[in-house]
Amino acid sequence: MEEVPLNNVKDDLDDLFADETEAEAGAPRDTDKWKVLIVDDEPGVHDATILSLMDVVFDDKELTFLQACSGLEAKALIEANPDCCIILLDVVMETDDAGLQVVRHIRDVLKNGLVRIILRTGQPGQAPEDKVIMQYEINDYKSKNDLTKQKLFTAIISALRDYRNLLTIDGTKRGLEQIIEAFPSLFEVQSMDDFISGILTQLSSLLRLDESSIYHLDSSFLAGSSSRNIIIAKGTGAYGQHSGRLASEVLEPGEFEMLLRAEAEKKSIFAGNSCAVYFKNKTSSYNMIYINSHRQLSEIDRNMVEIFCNNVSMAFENIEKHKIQESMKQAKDIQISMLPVNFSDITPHGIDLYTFMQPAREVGGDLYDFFFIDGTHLCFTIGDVTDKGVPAALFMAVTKTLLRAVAKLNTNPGEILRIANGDLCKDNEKSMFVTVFIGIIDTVTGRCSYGNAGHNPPYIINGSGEVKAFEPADSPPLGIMEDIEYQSGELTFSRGDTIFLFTDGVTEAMDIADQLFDEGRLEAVLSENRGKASKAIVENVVSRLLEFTTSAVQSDDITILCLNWKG
Amino acid sequence: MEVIIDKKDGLDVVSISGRLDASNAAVFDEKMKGILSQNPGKVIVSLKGLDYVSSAGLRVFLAAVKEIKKTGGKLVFAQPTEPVFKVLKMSSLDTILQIYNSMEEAVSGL
Repeated sequence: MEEVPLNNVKDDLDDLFADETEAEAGAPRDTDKWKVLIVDDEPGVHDATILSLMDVVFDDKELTFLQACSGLEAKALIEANPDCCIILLDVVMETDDAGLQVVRHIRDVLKNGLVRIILRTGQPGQAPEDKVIMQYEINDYKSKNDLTKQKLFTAIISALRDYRNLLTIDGTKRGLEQIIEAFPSLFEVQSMDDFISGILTQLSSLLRLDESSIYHLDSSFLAGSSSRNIIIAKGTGAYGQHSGRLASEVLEPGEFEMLLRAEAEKKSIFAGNSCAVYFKNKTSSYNMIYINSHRQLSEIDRNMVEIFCNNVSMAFENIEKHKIQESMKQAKDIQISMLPVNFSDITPHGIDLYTFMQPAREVGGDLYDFFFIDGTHLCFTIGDVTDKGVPAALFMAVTKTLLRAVAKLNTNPGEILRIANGDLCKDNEKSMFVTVFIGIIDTVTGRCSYGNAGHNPPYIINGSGEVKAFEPADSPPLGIMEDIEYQSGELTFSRGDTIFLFTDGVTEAMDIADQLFDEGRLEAVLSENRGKASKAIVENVVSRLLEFTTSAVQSDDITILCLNWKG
Repeated sequence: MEVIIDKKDGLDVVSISGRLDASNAAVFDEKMKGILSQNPGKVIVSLKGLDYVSSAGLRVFLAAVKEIKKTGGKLVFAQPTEPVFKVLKMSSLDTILQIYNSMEEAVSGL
């Protein structure tokens, strides 16, 4: 093997190119050229190859040459230059199969499947074409006798074309893989701030598909447009310091123009090194990402950015939903914690009380409550706020608190309802209202006074199993009209009598054929369960209700309060 | 739920049919708001085809009555079906809303 000082050859070539390019304003960087590695232990082959190919321009890019004189050098050079496009590879160098070892190294160790390898041998007997092309992942096989300029040119152009196409496919594949990898992490993010940072990080790494290209950190920012002003939500690179500022102040007029166009046309705009990506967020809101890259954005980049942003829209919606779900869960917990469940605390007072509540959604508009006003008087209420969801839940919370507060100062149910109604009517723009039944039982004597504001009448079940409904309410629900008088009624419990309070979610529960559960079915279950403990009665009503509705969707909150006076 | 809006003899007749509950009360609310935004003087809501109303629907009834009062207009209800009247009665809303058995009575009640 002959020693050829590699650097000398390189210097010579640099001089050669320098002469040609001197007139140009700025010589293109090596990264803008196709890298061709010549591996041969004969210096003459190097020179001949370079002379044949130095004028080649493919896709507006020239060739640049790397040179190695041994298999060992070749391995080191290809490792340092993974973006090398073509290797013109000699077979017999320091060993008879040095070139073939280089192929193995590139494909199996470096896992570089992109570089096109053209095997050139002066001794075909050492590496028969059929055998080699079958056993080694090479792309072409040439005899050194074929080293005519024309044939080499054709082989190189064809290899470059393959390489370029492979690069496109590979780039697309890598980009897609990255998008797929990026999303689980983006979906997990729970704060909008982290999410935006995540998008920008992923996007800038996505645009570095061509890893060998040397360019500075891309600058990008995500902007939201809430009013007419486009405000930078978060930026990277040159825009890193501009969060919260107006995009019109930060960008050059031409760049800002692009953002405005993207906004007006509701689509992403690509021009040269920049792009303004538009993506819809939800029905009315949208976001834009502005990217200023230090290189021309390619077709692959565009496709990747578009795919990425489509997915971002989905993730945005997801995070919004997640936020709502989270807060609904919290609201549900708060609401449930407001409702008393200390049933055993009141059993020593001769009261067997049990409740059930199942909102149709996360939060509901039903309420119940029970508490002692003094040592012997237990107040119990049930209520149903119009509609469901958050507004109903808020109204429910206000009502429950208000009733408890008023009941601590008054022992007359009608009076309690009158005062609560007055308060609820104030500033009730949404015309929310709540039906309420309130009772106060003397746990010693069984005497019970009650008031009803538009609530469906409860049932009294006596010891013999007779189920009797209260008279319908003669006053409207709370919250509708001020200055309404609410009457108090009175009854006396016999030992073992049970009062069963419920909301219309029970009687208006529907089966799959839209049949109502209705009073009839409820009365039947109550009659069957006479004399049982409150808990058993409630559980039996609920299980009968479930049997009835089966798979039908629950459309209204269901609430039950059952009180048995043992005396 | 289906809502038909009809203008005749200087009054707006809103005929609602089907079921009015939490799932569609917001839709009905929007329709009523649309009608009321044109400051109609007299509105009759016909409940003839309404099979069921939940409290969410009752809220829209009340809100509409409240709204029309602001502009000095009047809104009454006519021909409730039995189940709907039962709900109105049970919640005692029949004492607050003006409900008539026939369209003729409703017109003369305006």
